[in-house]
Amino acid sequence: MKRDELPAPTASAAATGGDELALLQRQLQRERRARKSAEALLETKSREVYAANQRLLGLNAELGAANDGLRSEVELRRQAERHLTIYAEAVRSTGEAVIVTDPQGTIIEVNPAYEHFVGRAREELIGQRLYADGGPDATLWNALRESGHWTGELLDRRRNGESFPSWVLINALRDDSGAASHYVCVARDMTALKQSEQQLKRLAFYDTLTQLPNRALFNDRLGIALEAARRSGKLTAVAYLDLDRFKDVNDTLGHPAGDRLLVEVADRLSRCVRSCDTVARMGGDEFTILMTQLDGQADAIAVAERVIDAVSRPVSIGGHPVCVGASMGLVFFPEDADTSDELHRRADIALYEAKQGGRSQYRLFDASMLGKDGERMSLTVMIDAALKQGEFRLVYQPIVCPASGRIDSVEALLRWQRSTGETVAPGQFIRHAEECGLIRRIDCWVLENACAAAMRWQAGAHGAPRVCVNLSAVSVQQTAMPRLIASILERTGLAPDRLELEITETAVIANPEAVRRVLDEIVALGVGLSLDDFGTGYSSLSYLTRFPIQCVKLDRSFVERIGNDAPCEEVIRSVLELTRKLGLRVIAEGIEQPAQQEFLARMGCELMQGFYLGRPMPEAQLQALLGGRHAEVLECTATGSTS
Amino acid sequence: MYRRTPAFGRAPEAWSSMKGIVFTEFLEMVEHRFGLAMVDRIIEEAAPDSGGAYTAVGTYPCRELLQLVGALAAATATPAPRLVQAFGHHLFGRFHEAYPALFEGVGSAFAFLLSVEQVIHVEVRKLYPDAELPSFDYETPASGTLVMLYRSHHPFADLAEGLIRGCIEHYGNPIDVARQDLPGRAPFSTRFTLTAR
Repeated sequence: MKRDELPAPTASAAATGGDELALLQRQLQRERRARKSAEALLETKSREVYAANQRLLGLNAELGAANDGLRSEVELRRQAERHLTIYAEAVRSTGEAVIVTDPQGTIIEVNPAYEHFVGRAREELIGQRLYADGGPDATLWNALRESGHWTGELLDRRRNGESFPSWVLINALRDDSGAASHYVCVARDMTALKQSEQQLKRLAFYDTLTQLPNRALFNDRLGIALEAARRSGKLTAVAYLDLDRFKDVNDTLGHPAGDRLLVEVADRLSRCVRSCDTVARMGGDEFTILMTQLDGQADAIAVAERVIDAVSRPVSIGGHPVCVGASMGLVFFPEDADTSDELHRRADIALYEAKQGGRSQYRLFDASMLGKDGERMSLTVMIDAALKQGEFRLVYQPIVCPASGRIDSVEALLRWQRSTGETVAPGQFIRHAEECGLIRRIDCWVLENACAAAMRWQAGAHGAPRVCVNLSAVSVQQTAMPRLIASILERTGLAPDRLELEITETAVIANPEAVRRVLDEIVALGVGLSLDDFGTGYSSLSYLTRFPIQCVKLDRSFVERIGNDAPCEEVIRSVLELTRKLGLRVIAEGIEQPAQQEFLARMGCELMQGFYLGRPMPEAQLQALLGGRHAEVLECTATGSTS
Repeated sequence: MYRRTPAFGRAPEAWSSMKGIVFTEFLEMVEHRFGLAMVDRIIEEAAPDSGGAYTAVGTYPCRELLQLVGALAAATATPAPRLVQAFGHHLFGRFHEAYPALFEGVGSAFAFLLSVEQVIHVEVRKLYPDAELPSFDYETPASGTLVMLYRSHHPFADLAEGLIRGCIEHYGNPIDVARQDLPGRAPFSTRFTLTAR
């Protein structure tokens, strides 16, 4: 159908002239109404568009806010992922074993260090029980359930079946409800540490030259022997012995010859006693013999005669016949004394009498030898007077880092110069002061004066050095000590981190629980703790790390063996390695020769102390040293011109 | 098979309106063909509620278009279906002028008619969400044959036929159109069979 097919317009549709006007009017009205309704519609639609636009703007703002939230969430997630990557890498590369278990103790993840420890692949370990062989007992799981934490030693097993000790730290991770979701276990292989401890014990209790027990082991055995003697009622004898003319051998044939002589003497002494007796080397040419379960004094006297005879026979050294003799002092328990200390003292007196009486003799102790004993009482009075009259003074020995020349800290050392001008060495009065209780006052005096002095020291490029103060075994056990230290710090104004207290191993293990409480409180003040004379006593690093120490001072007896005692050097190396692993600083004491410094530096020991690096000096000289005239003063002290 | 489109099932009131453009185009065609007096006459005779003041953007009762067509049929003594078909023919030309974009890339009458349901009605709904559109189902039983099944609530199969023929003429394709009105009311169904010559 096309438009053309529509009928043509008819005349009936056309309007007349008058009609046309009416038509146009009607049409106009229609157009007007149409326009108005279009305008109304436009208005309505405009409002709708406006409302829709407002809604869109609102939605846009919401969308923007949601977008911002989303962006920050994405950023947080990225950060978390970065942290996770870092932690994962730390866990992967740490030398300590890390094991993660589910709440039942089944391993779900291990790090390469643990694979290495046990010699097994991760895939083998996952799904196994944690320490299935070492048997974490009910105590461990109870502790974990209660506190979420456990530390201790467990046995683990390598692929080859060999078991080894691990120092283990376990922490629980908890879910939102507080229940343990995982356990994270960090373990350290203690094999090397234990081996080193064995070596240390050997060094601590045996003389490396003669392989005889040393003073520490002798004292230990004496204590046991006296206990046994008290029960059995039998006699115990202690003999002090030293060699006559030994100094001449050293002087004329040299120290190596002297050492060979000492080894030979040690051998001869050991042949003169029963296997249950103990021959010990106390140092130099001094030996002791402990004879137990004797029926009478005659048994010991027979030994003394055999010893004097054996030692007086010539010894061939480098083709030279060398003749020395032995003097002996003998003392009996319980007749002559009933404590170890008194037995030592009286045996020493008897030895002195023997030497006074001529060479190659022995003397039995006799009460009449005690003529000089009154001195003991007078020493108490003298120490008391020295405290009151200001006869004590402090000298300071620098602890340096030779590589940088930096003075790390300064050890305060006590000196006693009597009004008569006579100097009393610490060894002559400290032990007595400990016995009579005066040591507490001495410790206080030293602390107060050392802290006050440290406040006067000028800060160098690395800040003012710390001051190290020796704290006696008596003070370490005093519960009032932390309060006292706090009040001294307050009085003197010294920052706690500039004070470091040096304690000895024996002080720590005498009463570990009480001492630990005191030490924890001291450390809580911010004061540092170091372990003095390390290697001369108990020497168990794993045990000592239970105490809050930050530094270990390697005893001079190790340092003086450097260069002529390979096993000892090996021990130094492993001690340094272990202390590094345990995060402890090490200070080597008693550096007297460049070779010792070089060896220790090579082993990675940074901090050293000794005459070679700086003698103890008065405060004025120390201040000059800190003030910059470092090299000059060190040179003076090293040559000894100002000591 | 017919592809069914969901355009049915609503109440009669809902489909009883048409877009104003249908009215304005219708009156345009009447004015163009028969003159303004005829426009005035059929409005006066039909007396629609709106008073015949139509705007292209408004919406008006479907009934009014039937009234106007009835009045025009009476005034011209022409059957209403013929008028509506002619209007469809006219409307296609107007669509082509108004919406050239819908014709881009469409090269034949078959192609255009096949796009009505899926392209053109979709576009119309974007502009007029309330538009009531017929639906088409398609069938191609043989090559060169297109069957379009028209369904609407409005009785405007004639309008659809006019549009289809307008499209065929626009493209100049030789196509025969056969129409079969299917029985029943609302929705009204008509089958258009288009065969290429």
